[in-house]
Amino acid sequence: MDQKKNRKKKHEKRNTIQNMMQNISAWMDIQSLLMTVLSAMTIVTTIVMGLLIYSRFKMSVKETAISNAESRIESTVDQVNNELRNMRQICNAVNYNIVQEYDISDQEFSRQFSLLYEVNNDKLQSMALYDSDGKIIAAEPVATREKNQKVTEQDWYKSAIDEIENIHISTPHIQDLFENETYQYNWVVSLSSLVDMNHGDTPDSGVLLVDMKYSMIEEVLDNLNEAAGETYYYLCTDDGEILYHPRKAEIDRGFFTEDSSTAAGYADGTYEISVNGVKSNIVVNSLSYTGWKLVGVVPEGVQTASINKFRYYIIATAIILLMMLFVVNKIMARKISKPILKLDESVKSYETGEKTEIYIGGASEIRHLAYSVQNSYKQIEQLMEEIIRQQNKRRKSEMDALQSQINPHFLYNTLESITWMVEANKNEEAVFMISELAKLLRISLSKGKTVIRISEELQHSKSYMNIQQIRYKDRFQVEFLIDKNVEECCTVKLVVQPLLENAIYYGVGNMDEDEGGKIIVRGEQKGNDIFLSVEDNGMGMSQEVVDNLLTNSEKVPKHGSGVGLINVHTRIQLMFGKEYGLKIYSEPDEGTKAVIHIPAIPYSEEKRGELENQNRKRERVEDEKK
Amino acid sequence: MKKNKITFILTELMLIVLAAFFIIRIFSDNESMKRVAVIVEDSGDKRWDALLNGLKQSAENNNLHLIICNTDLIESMEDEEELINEQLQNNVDAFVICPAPGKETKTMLNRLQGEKPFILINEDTYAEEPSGYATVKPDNYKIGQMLAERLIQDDEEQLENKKIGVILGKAETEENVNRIAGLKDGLEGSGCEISWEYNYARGNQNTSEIIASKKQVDYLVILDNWALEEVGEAAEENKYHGAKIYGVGSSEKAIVLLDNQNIECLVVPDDYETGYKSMNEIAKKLRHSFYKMNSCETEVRIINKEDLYSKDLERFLYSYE
Amino acid sequence: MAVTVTLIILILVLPGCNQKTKRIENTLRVSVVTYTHDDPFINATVDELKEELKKRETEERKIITSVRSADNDQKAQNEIVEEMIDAGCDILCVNLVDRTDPTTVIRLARQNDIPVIFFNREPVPEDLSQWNQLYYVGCEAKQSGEMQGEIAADYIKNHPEVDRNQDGRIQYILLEGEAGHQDAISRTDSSVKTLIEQGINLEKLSYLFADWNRGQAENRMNQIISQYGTEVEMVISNNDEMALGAIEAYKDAGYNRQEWPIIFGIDGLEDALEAIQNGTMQGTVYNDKEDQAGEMARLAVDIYDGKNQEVQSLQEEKYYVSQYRKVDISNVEDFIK
Repeated sequence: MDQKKNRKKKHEKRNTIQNMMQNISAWMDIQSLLMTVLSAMTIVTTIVMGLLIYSRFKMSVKETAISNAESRIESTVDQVNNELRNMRQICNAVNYNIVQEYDISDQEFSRQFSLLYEVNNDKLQSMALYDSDGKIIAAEPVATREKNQKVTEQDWYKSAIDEIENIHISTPHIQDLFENETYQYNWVVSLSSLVDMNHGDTPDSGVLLVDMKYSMIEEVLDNLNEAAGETYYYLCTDDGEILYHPRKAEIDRGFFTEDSSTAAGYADGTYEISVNGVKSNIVVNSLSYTGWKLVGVVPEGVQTASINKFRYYIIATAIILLMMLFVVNKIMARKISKPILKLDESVKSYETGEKTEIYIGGASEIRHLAYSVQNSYKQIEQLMEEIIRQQNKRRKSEMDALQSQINPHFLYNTLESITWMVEANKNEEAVFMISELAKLLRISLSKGKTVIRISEELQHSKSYMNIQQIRYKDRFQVEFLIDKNVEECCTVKLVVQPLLENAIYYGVGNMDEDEGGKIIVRGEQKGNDIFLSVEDNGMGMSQEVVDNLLTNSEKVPKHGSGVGLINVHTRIQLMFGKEYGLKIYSEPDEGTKAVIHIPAIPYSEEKRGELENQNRKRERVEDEKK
Repeated sequence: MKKNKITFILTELMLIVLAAFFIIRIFSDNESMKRVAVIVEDSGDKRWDALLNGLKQSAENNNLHLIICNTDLIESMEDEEELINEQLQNNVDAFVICPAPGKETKTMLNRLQGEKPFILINEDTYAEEPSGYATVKPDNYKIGQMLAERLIQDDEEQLENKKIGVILGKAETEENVNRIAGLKDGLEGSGCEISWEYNYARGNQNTSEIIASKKQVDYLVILDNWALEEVGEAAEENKYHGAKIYGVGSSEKAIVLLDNQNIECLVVPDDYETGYKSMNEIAKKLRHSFYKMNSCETEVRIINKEDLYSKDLERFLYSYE
Repeated sequence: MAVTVTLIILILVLPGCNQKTKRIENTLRVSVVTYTHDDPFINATVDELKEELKKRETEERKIITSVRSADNDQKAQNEIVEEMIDAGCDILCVNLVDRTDPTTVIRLARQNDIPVIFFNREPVPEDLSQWNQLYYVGCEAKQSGEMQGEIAADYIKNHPEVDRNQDGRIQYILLEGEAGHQDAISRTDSSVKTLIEQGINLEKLSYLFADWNRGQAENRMNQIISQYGTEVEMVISNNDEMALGAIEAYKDAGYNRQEWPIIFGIDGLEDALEAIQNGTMQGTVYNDKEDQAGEMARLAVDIYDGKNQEVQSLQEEKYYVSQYRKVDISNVEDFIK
């Protein structure tokens, strides 16, 4: 159930997104659309690339800083180790060359002692020899006062005694054994070791204390830090007690923290730790003999001036790239969209009525579109012309039809007859003729309708026959045998009369009175069909003529009063379909029978309208065929 | 179409400006370091070592350029004003000032206030009330009190009937006024008598003679660092008839004097902290011009000879390196 | 658009216009850097310099002197010079820590067009000739040694009782400043040579280094005394401090006067002059700090005012060599202030 819901939601979402996108693209024109998309892509690409390059560079700067730190540390460790080793050698020199060599009361002892000090006094703060009670035997430089220190309780003394094999090296501290004249404190690293002294005959052991000037180590580390930029180096014991740190004063006061104990716990190598909340890389290297560690800290985000410059460089390059790409984008967009726009313009102006040439250009699809549009327009124009032509034609044929509904010959003749009757004072016959003519004319026009009741059509026929009979002086007879139900059905008007006309002119019209010419008009319904026939017993025609009658449409009988038989046939078919129509049967000397076959459709206004509309369509199709 | 074009041209213009901006930044060197001048009397004297170290370290942390004004004695507001003017022409962006003696200093600083930010160190200006400027200094009144307390504590008779001679620093300084006030208030009710007061003037070579010739006292309380150095140095030859010296000093020499037992007890303000914190405040101010600088009280320690060479003190001394 | 641009330009330019020179008077700023802060001779010289400069102040021109010292560290001294130049100064007076290494100082001064008067510790001529605004005020160590030799020789000639054991030779102890130190070598060398030239026969009992220091000298002399006793007939010391230390040693030893050696020093410190007065010391060579300080002051003012008269009076327009002066019992009064 949930899955379905989710899917539905996804669908909806997708739909809404699609809708949104469609809305947007509907709102923008092609060029803007292209520009936006291309620009967005350009920006994203440029930014991504810029970021990638920048971060790579940063990483490489960091890597460089770290490897710099590593190599510097190594060389510094060497330097400091050397200094310490020097000191140990001096210690040893004092021990073996002087203390063990001479008796302590010997002048030579003092001389050698001071000489050694003099020679090394740039590195040494002081040297002193103490006996096992902590009393001073010799000291350089010879200072005025010794402070009241319990020498035997001092760390250096005790360590020297505890570890007799090694020279003990203290951490840097303030020298406090001798008063100083200069109101200054000296920081020293004390080297102490147990020595055997010669005191007359009694060998004695004492402790030799050599105080090395801390500034020797300090300078090395200061130089290192000064040259190092963001990286800094500090010295600590293997417990993490900080001996030297460029920011020692801040650490002591709590303004800065350094996680030296963690660093000191590491073996030599490069590590990543977090210092002051900042991730840093540290390089740890141990000094020999003392176990001190020299730690280089490369803070994350080593911001050197060159990184900053590089950053600006990248940004500037990215911006220039963007600028150029925008221009290119614009040109591209225009190139693509211009033909479309032009096409659009052409179409627009076409729509407003100006006849313009459709612009054809651009990519192949657009050209194709343009061609299509052009063709469509051409076709439209042709069609329009066609329509106009057809409308003209129809108007003409309607006019014709209209015209033919009132045959001038028949009218003249009938009016002549009437005139003659009036002149001959045969007023009653004249009145009869006039009223029958009126009826005939009325139905002929039938207010423009094409479909009328069969009863009306027959009335028309009757009126026609009445007139003709008078004219023909009753030389023949007419009989109407119509089924009752037939009269209320639909028919096309002016279909019977032409048959009657034909029956008269080609049938009974030339017969004498006594030959008994007769025309029978029948109307029968057989199922859904209605047959209206006009039969005469006249001369008849040969099959040739019959066929001719139904093919030669242009022939309008001169002396007829209506449209030709073909016309009737065509009209019937146009109205009701190909299954219906006019058939003519004839035997020479026997007579002719013309049968109208139409469907039985009871007459109503609706039906009439339907049939007439249908008729029009069918007419058009017919015309087109022609 | 038109809209399109306009958008396009605007975007291009904006980008050109941005690009130009960054290109300029590439080529402009890092001369954006702001300059801060520190004005203290006789800036070359070793007593300022810790203060200058604190200032230097903080300047380095905050990427500021520190200028240590070359000074001799600053006796009055005019001397200080001239130094300030000179540094203003030297393109200095801020000042760290130890105010000169006298009432006019405050007025002079008022004039400076509109131009460049500054912070006062070691003492406030000489006036009835605090000046209202940001200051980084020890509580001078408390210093006097601490001395008084320690005197009473160390003395077997709690200073009953003892005589005290007081050597003061320059008159008309807040440091002086508050220290002596604190001392006097602290000594009230202890039964001791302040036999004499002497205003120490630097440059007068015979100070120790003058002191030696004054009425003998049991204790000498010295409230000025230079006085302490000079008088203390001479104390070896028992010039002062065994008077025990208690004093205020922030130089390495003062500590050595304590160590050599020329001095009994020493009150030491943490000059490194003063320098460090004052520079930090200035840095913040220079970064955000609407920042209001805060005053800080620097730590003060009171130490006897026995306290020396604890690791703690050794660390403290490190700031003099 | 044009209006905005113009406005922006104006706003940027205007602050520059406010740079009215508030300084009405002229001020000569003299920055002095010594090699250490506890050399009494240097300190005395600098004090003199300050006084001399103060004397030359006028209504239009104030003089402000500031003094700093390096801790026997040339690198530190270079930094100090940089700081002082940064804070603004017109003339530098530099007492080098390492006389062989003035390069950084010279470079800094030259970059900022600040004349430098080196004093007391002489850079080599090649360094001084790097720029024409470098000067040196000092004296010749050789001369001091010579003069010391001369006084000693005179005294010996006038006081035959000096040669206690009457062996025709004067047994002497040499107190030297530092091994390898230029001045120590110079003084020792010329002093002894002069004595010999003056016809004195010498026998060196021992020599020792006392780091120019009274205390050390005293201690070493104690050792010497315990070794040689009254054999020592003369003590020649590279400077007064060590000579005074020797005096202390003899005081402690408790000898009576006839058993004392004659003691000669160099510098002319107050204590030494006193010692000469009361006979514990026989002579010294006065390092005329007043003269040097005066010359430095004159030079400083001269250069600053642009007159260059004083400059032209210098040797090669660079050197001022102050003359040492012999001091013994006959004229010691002149030197005591």
